[in-house]
Formats: sequence, structure tokens, C-alpha cells
Amino acid sequence: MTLKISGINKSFDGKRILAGVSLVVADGEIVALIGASGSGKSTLLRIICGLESADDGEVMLAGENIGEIPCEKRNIGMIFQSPILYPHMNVARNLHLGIGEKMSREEKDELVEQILNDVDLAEFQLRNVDELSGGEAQRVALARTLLTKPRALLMDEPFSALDTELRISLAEKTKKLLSQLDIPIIHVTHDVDEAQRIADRVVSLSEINNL
Amino acid sequence: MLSRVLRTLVISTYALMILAPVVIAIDRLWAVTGVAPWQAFGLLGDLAVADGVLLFTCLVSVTASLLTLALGLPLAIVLAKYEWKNIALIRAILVLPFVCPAIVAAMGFLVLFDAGGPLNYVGIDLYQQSGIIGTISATLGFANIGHFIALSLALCWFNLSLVIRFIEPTLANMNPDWEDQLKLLPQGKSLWQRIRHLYAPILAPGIIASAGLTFVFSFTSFALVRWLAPSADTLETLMADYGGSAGIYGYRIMSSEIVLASSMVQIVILGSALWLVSHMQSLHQSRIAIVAESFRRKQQGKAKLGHRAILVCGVVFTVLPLLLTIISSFKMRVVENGQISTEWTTQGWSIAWRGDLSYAGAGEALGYSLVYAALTLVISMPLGWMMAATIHSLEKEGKLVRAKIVDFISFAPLIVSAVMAGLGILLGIIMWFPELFAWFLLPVWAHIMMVTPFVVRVMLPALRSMDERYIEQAKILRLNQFQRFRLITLPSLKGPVIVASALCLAFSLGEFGATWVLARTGDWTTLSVLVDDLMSRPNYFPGVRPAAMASATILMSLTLALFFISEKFRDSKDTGGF
Repeated sequence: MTLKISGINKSFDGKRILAGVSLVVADGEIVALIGASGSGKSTLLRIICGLESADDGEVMLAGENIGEIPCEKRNIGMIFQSPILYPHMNVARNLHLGIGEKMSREEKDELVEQILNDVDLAEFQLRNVDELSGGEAQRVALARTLLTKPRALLMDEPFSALDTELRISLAEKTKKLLSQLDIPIIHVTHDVDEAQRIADRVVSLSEINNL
Repeated sequence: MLSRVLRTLVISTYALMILAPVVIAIDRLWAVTGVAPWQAFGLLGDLAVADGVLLFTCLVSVTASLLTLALGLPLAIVLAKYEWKNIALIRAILVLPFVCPAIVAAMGFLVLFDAGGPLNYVGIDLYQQSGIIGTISATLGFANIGHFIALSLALCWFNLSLVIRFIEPTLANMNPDWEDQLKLLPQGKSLWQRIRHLYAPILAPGIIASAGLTFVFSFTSFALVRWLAPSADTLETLMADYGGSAGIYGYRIMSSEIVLASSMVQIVILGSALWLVSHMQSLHQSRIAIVAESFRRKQQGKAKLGHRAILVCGVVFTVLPLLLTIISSFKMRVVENGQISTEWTTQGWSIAWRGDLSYAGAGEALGYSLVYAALTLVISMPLGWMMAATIHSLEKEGKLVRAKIVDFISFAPLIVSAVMAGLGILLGIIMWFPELFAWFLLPVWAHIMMVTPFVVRVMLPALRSMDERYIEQAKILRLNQFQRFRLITLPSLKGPVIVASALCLAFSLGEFGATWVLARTGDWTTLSVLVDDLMSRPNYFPGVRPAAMASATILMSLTLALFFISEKFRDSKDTGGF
């Protein structure tokens, strides 16, 4: 299930952001993508998951060109910088969104319980999302993404809003969880320490962006 | 994001339902009169019956706009700057007139100004124009100045909420540090300098937008003019009076000329005003800095006596006409031994309910009103929402000029006014399909025309402020379009949807101008037409007025209940104006 992007170009209002960007991430590999603010890291992730379309280039997953497939059908997980939890739903209901509708309620609850255990939030099922701390909310977002059983995972500076201590501990927990997955993972960050702590390989965007 | 096909479909449906009747009607008037629409402006000056009508319409609309600002701004300022207990309730009371049916407001002010009313009691006779009002009228050489003042006050009452809704949240949410910083700078030492450099630039778009909307709603007011200024005509009442005989080949061509000329003048003036309003609303949105509302209020502390007095006067002014309507429904004139007195009775309610003095009883009229309102909701809500989504979608794609044009089209029914909407259907559709004249659901079409723009105006800011990342996240979670709508969009927009639905129902229940044109001769009287019908009866029977007031009270109770439901779900930082 290798993720391969090649020759990605993207401009906004005539300003080139990405030029001929290519990158290969193997199954089970975690690649940390580092770069300065505004360098196009998030844009690249949005192109891979289908929230933006590239002007040129290919996004291949497991040998299939997924560039024309709509975002909701690509089955690529993404965790944003600030966790997007729906305020009108509690933690469990937010997690149900990651499971799909065909499963029975009992089966869903079982999965939710299990994943919350994995992210050390076992007692949080019925909490409102506005009662969660930044770190807890990010872990719920991670748990929800894992429930979707993604074919690839993209993380857009998920720990950047947290304090240093929490960032380190969460990065280690996340690394442990992600190491059990056999999918390509791209972790975007501007923190080199965090990149080295969590990733198998560190890539600088400036090296692969031919601007 | 709506697809191009869906967007085209939405705009076409809107144009067909909302604009087509008026376009077809104008085309017919053109054919009947032989005068092209762009040549019709001059007709107004040539027709004796229209003499001075345009001047009066403009004069009363400008006066009402200025008066509304003069009374509304102090209210908005004290409400925004100081701490008030039950602020949500006070705000709701002050803005309540906007959803109050015009015919109910007309009845309330009629009682306020009429013989035996509170103003008459203190010597201000706006209706018969005796005493001091008569003296002013003679001194200024302004005939019927009492009616002019009465109408201007009622229009001000009606539109006060616009100023409060635009200005109060903006002021309350303004970052107090801005003023503090300015005080420390050479250009901000005096209050006047701070007004010039800080408050005026931030509040001016909102002030102009609210004054512009007041002008538009005053210009197209029908029920208030009909009942409070019977001595004068506005373009709207003129069209209503002559609309019944317009659009018929070879028959009373003058009627067609009056309607054509009036509608064209109205379209140009209101179109310009609404273009300005639309532009000012965009500027207004961009000037708002969001800080916690409570922060600002805590900074300013408790209100002083003068501030309380302003607020109390505002609340009394708002509530008085409505209270008088209720009270009048229980008071009946009694003539005994040549002496006139009043007695407290519920007879007015019985007369109204049974329909003793009208073609239909209040129960039957209520039934029609509710059916029309429900059907209007079913069509206007999705249509208005889709129209708002279309505008939002174009904005997101950066097609700002197209978005602006579609936004302006969504305003169109306000440009043509309620009477013209009714006449549009009457002339444009029924002249081709006369059998539709007997269709009891016909007024629903006019209600949809008048109500849908308000749905667009409520839903558009809500869509703009919705966090786009919620939808992006839902896509990543593989929710399909229907699931995204059901699980994310709908719950996120629950408040605005309830507000828009409640306003939709309230405005449809209270709609008068278009319904009066379409339904007054039919068997399907709504409550607002019933009130007008009852008040038009000879006043020698003492039950006429209490029965009309009872019907008005039923209508008022329904719309106010809907209004309070909508207020419960309204965002306190809502600066949308409606």
C-alpha cells in the first residue's frame, strides 16, 4: 500500500506554492515532513487526502492513481493541527462518525470502548467535547481517525498547540500506536526534535520542492 | 460546495417563482398602455391622481429613517455599553416590532392616536388634527401633518429593531482596548476625536445599512399608510387602489399607467437603496472585531439613571401599541340615553370568532393563515437556504462579482414590494390562467415571494460563519453528502434554521399587502385581511372595533410566540439585521 506522489504542482492566485514535489512513503513507514511556516506542507497533505486538487502531478496509493477520486472515497485519514471535534456531539458520538452506519449500536460501542482504552481515555465516552483539554481532544481525534481504518495517515502538526511536556509524551504514545499500523504515514511538523522522535525518516520540504 | 448545475437550478427556480410574475406583469402593462417601462417614469407627473404621491412617499420614508436613527441609536448604545439584568429579554422586547404584523401595528397606533387614546388624552390629536397639531399644520402650511407624524412614528416603531440589531452587537463586541489605546494618543484625547477616528468608521456602515433598510420598508409600507394616513397616498397604496382594474386591454388605461409608472419608480428607487444596503452590510461585517460580549459590559459597569430612563422609554414605546390593541379588544362603546361610554366585555372576541360582522370568522381566517404559513415554510425554507448556499459557494470560489449579483437578486422581492408581488401574480399569471383566481392556495405564492429573501438573509451569515473544517473532517471520515448534511451541517445550523423558520412563519402569518390584493375578494380570508375587513365596516356598530382588535390580538399572539422561540436560538452576536 505504498503512497507515491510525483510531480505535484500547485499555485494560488498565480503564486506557485509547490513545484514538482515527489515523495514515496512505504507501508508501515512514518515520514516526518519538515519545513518553514507557509512553505506548503499543509497544502501538500490537503492534496494527498483530496481536500485540494493539484494543478499537475499524481497521487498513487497501492499502485492506484487516486488524484481524481473525491476526498470522502479515498479512505485516507488526516489529523489537523487543532482537533476537529463536533461540539454538538459527545466523545462517543464523535467516535461513531469514524465507524460508519452499518454496524449495530453495540458493536460500535465496543469499538469505541476499545479505542478509548488504547488512547488512555477510557472514562471519556460521555464527555462533551468542550470539556476536553487540548491533549485529550487531539487523542480523541486520533482515535476517531484510527477507527476509520485508513489506507494512509496524514498528520498536520497535531501537537503544535500543546505545551512541550505534553507534546513529548503524546508523541511517544502516538508513535507506539502508529507502529502497530501497516500503512504509510506522513507527519508534518516544524519541530525537528519531534520529527526525529516520531518518524522513521525525516524529509525537508525545501529539498523536494523545486521552487 | 454546490455544483454548477445545482446552482443554476436554484437560481432559475428562484427567478421563476420570485421574479417571473413581476416581469410578466410589467410586460402586460406595457402591452396594455403602449408605454415602454423605461418611458413610464414620466407618466407619474402627468397623472393628476399621482400628484405629490412620490414626494410624500420619499418624505415620509426619509423622515422615518432619520427618526428611527434618532431613537434607535441611543437605545443601541445604552444596551451595548452597560450591564443589564435580563438583557436577552430586553433586547427581545425592543426588536419585537419587526415581526409584528403591520396590520396589528396599525391597529395599535390607531388606538394610541385616536379619540380617547392616551395621546389624545394629553392634548395631542394626530388623527383629527385639532389643538396644537392643528396650529402647527396651519403655521407650516402642511395639510394633515398629524397623519404624517403618526405614520412616521409608526414606521419608526416598526424599524427600530433594525438599528438595534445592527449597532448593539457591534458596539458590545468592540475591543475596549481600541478606545483605551486611542485615549493615549494625541488624536484621541476628546470624545469627539474618538467618535471620528474609532466609532464612526466602525459603526457607519451599520448605521447606513439600517437607515437604508428603514427607508425601503417605509417606502413599501401598506397597512400603516392605509390606516394611519388615510388622507395621503404612497406609491404602494396607489398601486393597490388602482391595481384591481389594471392590465385589461381597452379598460381604464389610466389604472394600468399608474401601476406601471409606480412600479418602475419603486423598482429604481428601492433597487438603488438596496444596492447601497447590500454594500454597507458587507462593509459592516468586515468592521466587526469579535471579543467576548460580557467583557465589554463588565468594563462599563452598571447603568446610571439617565441610561435607565432611555431604556424604559424605549420599552414603553415598543410595548404600548401592542398593549393598547389587547386592551381595546375588551372595550366596547355603549350609547345610553345619548351618552357615550365604554364597557369591559368579551363580546368583541365572540363577534370576531363567529364572524358576525365579516365574511369569515377569526377561527376560519386563522385556519387559512396557518395553512398558508405552513406551505410557505415548506417551500421558502429550502429555497432560501439553497439560494444562500449558492451565494456562499460562489464566494468561496472567489467569484465575488457573481456572488454579489445573486445576492442582489435574492433581495429582489423587497424591491418590488408586497403589493407589487400580489399584483404581479394577479396580472402576470391570472391574466393567462384565469381559473387560478379561484385557487385557494394562490396567496401562498405571494407569501413565498415576500418571505424567502428573509430566509436568505438569515441563512447566509450562518453559512459564512460555519467552520469549514467541520465539513472537511467529515469528508475525511468518509461521510457521504447526505450524512454530512444530516450529521454535521443541520445540527451546526440548528439555531439559524429555527430562527429562519420562525421568521418565515411569522412573516407569512402577518403578510398583508400581497394577500390583500389577492385574497380580499376571495373566500380565503387570512387574519390580517380579516382585521382590515372588520375595520373597513361602518363604525356605527360598536362591535366593529373590538372584533378587529380581538382578531389582531390573535395574530399578534401567534407571531410574538414565534418570535420569542426564534430569539431563544439567536446568537447574541448576530448582526445580520433581521
